[in-house]
Amino acid sequence: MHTSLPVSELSAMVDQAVAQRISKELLPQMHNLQSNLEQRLNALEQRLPKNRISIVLFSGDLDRALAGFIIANGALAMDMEVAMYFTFWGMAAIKQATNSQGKEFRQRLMGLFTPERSEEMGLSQLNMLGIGSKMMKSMMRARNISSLEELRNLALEMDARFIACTMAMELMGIRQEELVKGIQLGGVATFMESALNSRLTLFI
Amino acid sequence: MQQLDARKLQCPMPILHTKKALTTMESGEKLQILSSDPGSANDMESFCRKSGHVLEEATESQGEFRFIIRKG
Repeated sequence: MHTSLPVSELSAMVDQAVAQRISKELLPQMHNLQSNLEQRLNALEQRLPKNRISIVLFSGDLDRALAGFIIANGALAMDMEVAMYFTFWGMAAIKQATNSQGKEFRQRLMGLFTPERSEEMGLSQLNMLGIGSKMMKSMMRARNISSLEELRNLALEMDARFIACTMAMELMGIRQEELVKGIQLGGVATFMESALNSRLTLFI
Repeated sequence: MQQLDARKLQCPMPILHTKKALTTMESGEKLQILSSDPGSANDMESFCRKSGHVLEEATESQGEFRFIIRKG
């Protein structure tokens, strides 16, 4: 014996059973799948290069530093992020003063034989005890070529990230107040993260 | 049309001033740039290609370069 149900009622029951089954079994699965996918996408995005250039300025030569700052400004003009790392002799490019107070003897010596501030930087060639550097700067002024300091300030104004290497600072006894304003401190991990997410990395 | 006089400026200044001028403008607006830097002919092309702007005109006469850029 079977009692016959109206078709509409039967189909409503089927619909309800299907809906129950979906919400009980399929939805949690979908949810898992989605969060899994999101996690993997996030991990992937963290490894993809951003529209960024990372520059290490290792050299304390005026000409090399100029090249670095010109590239940084060009990149900023073309809507790229810029991260510039200053280490060893390159620290000279972001120095505004040298204060020997409280430094150990060898650090004071180091300060004596390296540029007191960026304006004192010398050329990598034809420096001739600083005469070449002075001549080059007056030639640049005559031709309306921006100075290193102007380029540095421009880059900072356009939100370039400048990072000073704390190991080099510790070694040479350079304190943050001897550097121009707007410099962050960091180490190799800061650089590596930035470099790994950059489309371009330069070591100057 | 907005005007930018970048004559007598050297690399990277013409590009920097162009970028600065463009940021104050609306998409579709045009900017005319005068430059005396021979490198700016190639620079403006690259700048526009990489920054999504359109270089509509690039002319040179007697060492003076004239560009019209439509903001992208």
